[in-house]
Amino acid sequence: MTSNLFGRALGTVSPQALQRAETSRLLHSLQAAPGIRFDGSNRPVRHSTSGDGDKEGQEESIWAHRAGVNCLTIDEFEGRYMLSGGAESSILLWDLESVENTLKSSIYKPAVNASKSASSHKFGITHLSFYPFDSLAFLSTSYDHTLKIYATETLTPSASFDLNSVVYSHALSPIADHLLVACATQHPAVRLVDLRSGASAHSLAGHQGAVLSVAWSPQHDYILASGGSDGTVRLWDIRRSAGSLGVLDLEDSIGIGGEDGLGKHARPRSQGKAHVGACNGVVWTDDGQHLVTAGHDERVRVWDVSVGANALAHFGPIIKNTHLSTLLPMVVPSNVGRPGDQVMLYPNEKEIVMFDLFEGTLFKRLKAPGAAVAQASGSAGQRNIRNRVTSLAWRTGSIEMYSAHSDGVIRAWKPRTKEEVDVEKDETEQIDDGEDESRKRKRQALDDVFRDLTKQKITFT
Amino acid sequence: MPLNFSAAHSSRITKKPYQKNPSLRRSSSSPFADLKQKKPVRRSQSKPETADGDDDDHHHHHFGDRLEDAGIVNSLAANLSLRDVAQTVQHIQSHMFDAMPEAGGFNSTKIAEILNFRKCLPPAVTVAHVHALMESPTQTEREIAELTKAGTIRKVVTPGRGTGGSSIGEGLILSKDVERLVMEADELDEDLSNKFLEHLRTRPMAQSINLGAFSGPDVTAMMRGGFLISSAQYMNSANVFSRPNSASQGTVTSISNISRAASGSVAAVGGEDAIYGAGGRGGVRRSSSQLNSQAEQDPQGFVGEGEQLKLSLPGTGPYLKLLTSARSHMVSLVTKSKYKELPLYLLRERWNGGISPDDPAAKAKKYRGEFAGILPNRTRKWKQFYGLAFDWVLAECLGAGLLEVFETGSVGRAIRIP
Repeated sequence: MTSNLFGRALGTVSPQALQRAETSRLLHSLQAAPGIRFDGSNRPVRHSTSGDGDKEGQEESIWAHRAGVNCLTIDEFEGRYMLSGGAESSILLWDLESVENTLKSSIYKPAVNASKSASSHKFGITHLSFYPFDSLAFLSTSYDHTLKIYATETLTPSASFDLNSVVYSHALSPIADHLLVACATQHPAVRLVDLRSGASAHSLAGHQGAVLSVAWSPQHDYILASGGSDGTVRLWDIRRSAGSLGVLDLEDSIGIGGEDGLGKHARPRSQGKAHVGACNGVVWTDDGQHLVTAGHDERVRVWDVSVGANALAHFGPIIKNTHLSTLLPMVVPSNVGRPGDQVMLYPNEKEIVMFDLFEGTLFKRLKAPGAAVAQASGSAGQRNIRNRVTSLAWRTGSIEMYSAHSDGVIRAWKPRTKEEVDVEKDETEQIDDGEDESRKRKRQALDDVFRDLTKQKITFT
Repeated sequence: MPLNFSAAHSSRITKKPYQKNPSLRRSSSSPFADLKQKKPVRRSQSKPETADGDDDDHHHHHFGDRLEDAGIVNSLAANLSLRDVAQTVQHIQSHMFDAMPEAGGFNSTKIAEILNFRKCLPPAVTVAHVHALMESPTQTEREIAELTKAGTIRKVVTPGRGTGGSSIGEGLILSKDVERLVMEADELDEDLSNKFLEHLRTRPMAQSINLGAFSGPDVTAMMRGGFLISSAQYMNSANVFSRPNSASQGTVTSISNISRAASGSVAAVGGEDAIYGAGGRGGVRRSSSQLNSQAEQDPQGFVGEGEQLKLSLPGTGPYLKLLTSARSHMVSLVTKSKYKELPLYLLRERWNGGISPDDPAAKAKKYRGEFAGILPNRTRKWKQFYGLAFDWVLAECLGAGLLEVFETGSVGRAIRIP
């Protein structure tokens, strides 16, 4: 690091290169920050947060949503506000700058408390997303068949759309002029809801089962990708009348251009399966050139979208995916890390796994501290559920990640580099040093005596 | 008394209880002989006992510590010097079984049975196994795709064997082995063999055959030879609940068939032989005469749920059965230990049935004529698994993600359940 700084002063290392080297180093040193907790209960703040003996008891009993956190999202502009949706239909807004954010113990409280009214969601929340142009509004979908728009400051719904079937996920294009929200519902058609007119304008037909995940392209405002329970991933162009551009096929690594780029031996576009089993996560990379999909065949596949070919990245047998709900792998923004390298974080049941996106190499396994079978209590009483990571959110502007767990806890992951570890060790040593010195000297003296008595002295004659 | 022992064995006073329970063996007839002496039997050098999980000798109390974890071993590739996928496939095939031991207690029928079984298995390997023995799974995938396109290797998929990482339906086989199998098959006459091989050569990536190219009796001959299997898309829960009529799609009772019949007629419930034609159960199969008329608008490929004729290899069934049972036995051996982890040498011994051929004490005893232990003939490895090699099954389980290898600083490598 210091040699990089020196290089930048000299001019041999460009500022961009230094920035990338530094962010890449921080990214690879991500670790759990167990001291940062999110308290969604309405209990009064406990002041004795620094007591060591209390920590474990407190960690267990501090949760964000008692019945489990289903989804998490952070706003793209300042990286300041975080929304979490629970399995018991509550939505909480957290201000990430409200508490001094260090690795030591700090507890966040919700910035706004939403009250339950007749117009708020009735069942668990499936997906949350901020409005792409400012953070004063956000969209939420739930198991109660509705898509609602909320005002962030008051957490009250401004509008509600009833879609008549369970809505698994939704997406709003980050660059578009049109305000079409694509909803992935249990009905085989992808429903497009127009926020301007307030009507469910458009349906894209083609899937043969429930649609589990949708994502708009970050480069083109008319391209949409959707994955369904039939295992297909479809690409849509909403300007066309027929809609479907084609289907991605896992066997196809050449693409629809064929062997010579003009369609020789190319597969037909309308046939193919992206996953052997349901596909429940579709995510675009930043540049819009690649698509990452996760499916129930316990594979994460990377696709080159320009030709519709499988980029054949294999992430090994450690990937697990058993739940029918949407599971989105998170692709780290491309300005973090080396140019050309992309890092993907995958929520793998009880842990988060960090991979290189194109080569499939495993960087890290981040194990979430917590019990394997947790107790979540909702309105139906307490139930034992398998504790899994449901959702991940990246804080733009810094190298931090937050994860939502089905035991009701939101956990933070921050970089913890070797220098910080040394600094912490020095700090704790300084505190303990005074007392321990005399004890150390005594122990040393005793050790010397013992050694002299027991060991044989080697003498050279 | 078994006949293969010599007369010396039969006339001697047997110490059966002492053979079965090693702790009762007395080293000398001194008054201290029946003190419980924890003499470990099979170790060549003394090792610290904290590194042990369970032990065979149940009087040897384990200290109940976990093995230290010095880092996970990502792949077994470092031990082998395999350059590419084709070489790996050949290596895997050749190292699948252990050589039959000379004094294993096998009689001739047993030997013949084992050798015949080994011969009838298809020379295919699972994709997971190949991944386990090569460095980077992405590179392996890309190489497999390249070789498949070129026609060197063929991918054979058996549907319905699970969809997760531990599914075993995908196999790789060298094209020359496929050709050998086709030529050697009795049920296919020469013309059909050549036609079939030509068909395979022109479509290297195909998983199913083009029905128009072969006549009915040809198709029947190929099915009898084991080269074609008809499979309906398996019913997993996602499929069944996806559409209202998905359970009956492609059957004689599907909406499009029923809607064409007059209400109240027998055809409206599937026809005269609805149940018979469906194979005796109200299932998903259609009779072969309906194969050509695809009444539903499902496309020909994967997505439809009608009947498909997929390419396969003869002997795939017993092969997959052997594979699943070997995998589950291996995993159960690790599960039996207290912390679900086991040093590699111990797991190898357990797989081999507790016989370690290198043990000098056992060798000396055998030379002297005292037989201690069980014959390989009676172990599960030879009775149930026909002599599957330990390293082969271990690589299978690793590739499937059922087990994990990690380094301990003290006892070498160890296995645990992830």
